[in-house]
Amino acid sequence: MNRLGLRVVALGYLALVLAGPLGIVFWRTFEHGLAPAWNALTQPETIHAFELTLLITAIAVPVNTVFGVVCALAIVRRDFPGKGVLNAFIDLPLALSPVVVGLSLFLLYGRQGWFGGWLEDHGVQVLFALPAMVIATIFVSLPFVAREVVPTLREIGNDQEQAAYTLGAGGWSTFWRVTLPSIRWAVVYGVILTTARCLGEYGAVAVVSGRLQGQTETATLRVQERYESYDLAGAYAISIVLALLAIGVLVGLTVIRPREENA
Amino acid sequence: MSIVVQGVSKRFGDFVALEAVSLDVPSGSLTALLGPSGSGKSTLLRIVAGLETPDCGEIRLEGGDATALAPQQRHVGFVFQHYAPFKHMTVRENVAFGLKVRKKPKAEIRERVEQLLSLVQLQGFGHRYPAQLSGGQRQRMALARALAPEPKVLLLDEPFGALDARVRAELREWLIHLHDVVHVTTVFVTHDREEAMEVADQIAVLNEGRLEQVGAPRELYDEPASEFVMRFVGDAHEVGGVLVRPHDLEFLDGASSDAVEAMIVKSTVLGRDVKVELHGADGAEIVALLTRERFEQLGLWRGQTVWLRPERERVFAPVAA
Amino acid sequence: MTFLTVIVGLPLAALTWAATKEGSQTFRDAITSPQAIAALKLTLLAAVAVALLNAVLGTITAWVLVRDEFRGKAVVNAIVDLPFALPTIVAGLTILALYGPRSPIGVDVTYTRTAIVLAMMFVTLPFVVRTVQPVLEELDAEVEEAARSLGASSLTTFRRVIFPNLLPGILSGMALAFAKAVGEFGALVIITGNLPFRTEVASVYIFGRIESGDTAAAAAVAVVLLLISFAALLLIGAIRHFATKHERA
Repeated sequence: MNRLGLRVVALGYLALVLAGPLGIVFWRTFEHGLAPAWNALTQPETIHAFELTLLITAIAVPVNTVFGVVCALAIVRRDFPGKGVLNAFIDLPLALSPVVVGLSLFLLYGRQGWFGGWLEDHGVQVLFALPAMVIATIFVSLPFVAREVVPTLREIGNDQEQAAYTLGAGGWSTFWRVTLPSIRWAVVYGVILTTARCLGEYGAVAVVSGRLQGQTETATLRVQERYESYDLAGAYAISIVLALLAIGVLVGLTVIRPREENA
Repeated sequence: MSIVVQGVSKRFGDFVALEAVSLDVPSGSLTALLGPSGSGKSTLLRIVAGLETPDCGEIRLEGGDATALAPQQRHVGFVFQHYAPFKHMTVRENVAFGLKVRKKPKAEIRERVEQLLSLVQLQGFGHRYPAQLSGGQRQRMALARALAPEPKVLLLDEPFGALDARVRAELREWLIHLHDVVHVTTVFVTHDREEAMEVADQIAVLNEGRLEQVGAPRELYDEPASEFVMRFVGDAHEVGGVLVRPHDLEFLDGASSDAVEAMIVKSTVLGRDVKVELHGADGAEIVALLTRERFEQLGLWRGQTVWLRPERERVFAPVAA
Repeated sequence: MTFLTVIVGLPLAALTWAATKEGSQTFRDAITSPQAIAALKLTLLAAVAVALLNAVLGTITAWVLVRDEFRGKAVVNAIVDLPFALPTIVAGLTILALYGPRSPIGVDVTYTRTAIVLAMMFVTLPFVVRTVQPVLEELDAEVEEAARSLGASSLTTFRRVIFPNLLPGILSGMALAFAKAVGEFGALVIITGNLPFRTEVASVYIFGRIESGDTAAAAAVAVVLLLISFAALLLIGAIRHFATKHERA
């Protein structure tokens, strides 16, 4: 196939599946001016939904960042039984359906679940409340930091760390001054991906949250709620905000990528 | 600080890196660990630094048993083969690292860093990042960094391996000069025999994990303890069942019982010397080295049959092929 | 390690337990209920179709991004990552905007199986592209030139020199796309209408079962999906292993 032909196929494919639909959403949202969109966005439940999403993200991202870095260090620098299992488990959230994730948490923390009874007796509400939503979000966004950091760590090798040891730096000191700075762009890249995933999570949270408006409804859940209430304008408006965040993420990634590759 | 290596062995899985190596490094000396790849020299160096632990044996630093000490506690400066620069720090920050970790006062750090940058001729480069330096400059930075915390021992792992010939020669000179000035016990690893011969006070030759010989360069050259050492430290060829160096072959007027017959195949003028390639009676290739003067004196020509007598031969049992 | 166990291991164990709690008979019943089978069959067929479509279109896209030059290429390259960043529910909504009831081009695929494939394509678009791109970039143009200088036509060069190198990348991209498509929920839940036996995919079926309180049935089908995910991961690992075989001494 000649060059032009291929280009047409590729661009056409992207336009039909990706760009076209997204463009229409933008158009439809502002079709009747800014007012309807603005109204939809400033409803109290919507604002709460955004706040909830941001709160969950603010908790999940740091947790997964720490986990990811620790995991990456363990995988690359140490040998221990079960390393292969660890590796496989880290990738699992990527391949698993969000509904399956939600269900398993539901089963664990629900009233008849393994922990549910005990927790309820102690007045701790996990399911249909913030904790379950946070746990679900952590689960699905688990792999990103680790997967970004592992290849970078591997490539850097531990020469710099050994040099630091000979110069008198202890383990912790070496980690802060040498290891962490040398992987910082990979960590940032991973954090950006994790954040995007947290902001956009739907399926798992849908199962465990109970979708109570104004209480356990995240931004993504609200989109669906608005759609089902025939408030298309509202659904589109929230979607636009989320889409703009996604585009912001893309821009961030594109800017960071060269630095990550040259690290 | 003196170093004593006593009976050190190390294996990596099935691979024997070092076998019962014992070595004395006097305080203030400049020692080379010389050997081919896989001979264990880098492993030995790293064991002295504390970056690897030996399976058995001892390392004594200034008389004290250091075998169990972590690298941080040994006060050794280590220069890695590829320099291991802290890529995210400037040259100045790299050099200052060892001092910062020891929580020295800022003014003291600044002064010492400037001093070292002058010593390694990198003054003015302090604000640059390692990626912006040439190979030779990075090497000098690595040295300054290792010297900053005033180590008692300086260890260098193939320090000039990654550089081109001219820079290598310059840095060699420079290392000798540095050692004269700083007087710290220095051990460096190399596979380059010229480098070892030119720079070191004593050379330890390693082969397949075993120490073959230790001694001053001249000693190793003139009195090699094994065939391996003889061949590794200089050229040597087998002539009539003995090993002899090219310049130790004497051309005789006529046949003699202690001489070997050979035919001249080619002669090449190499500056002041002439390299003469010959084929022995059994087809073996022999190389002789003569001064131009002697060559012309003898009036040798291609195809001529001559008689060669080794003036200073070595016999090792067994003489392997 | 503990963290991982608590967050990931325990819930999955609970899932498996719940699924089999009622005994293997219930499990089998749940799985073989006509609705469940229909959902699974639909999901698998659609995912396979999507994986194949991705293989072709994704490779072409990767090729164009690496080998072609045109204005705005950098933007196009960045757009490919959009499905990674966009919430799945928004993805569903955007597909609906162009191909739904109020479509400006008059196409309405709501409640059809085409919608399923379309939505799955949206969310899996980056996978093959991103696994093939680096391979193409690494592939020395000189290798192709060598092949041509030895007399191979463009097609032959592609078939014998380029394609074998791309194959592992294409396969692992396909496996990732398949795994994602099989489990996709958010993008499908609005657009497909979830009509049992017609457009209900496995993930939606599970969700429905949870909402009606039949957690055993939900868990059973969920375990099936879990096993498929594991299988996909193993497959990707195996592909990676074999692909780098000739690079290891």
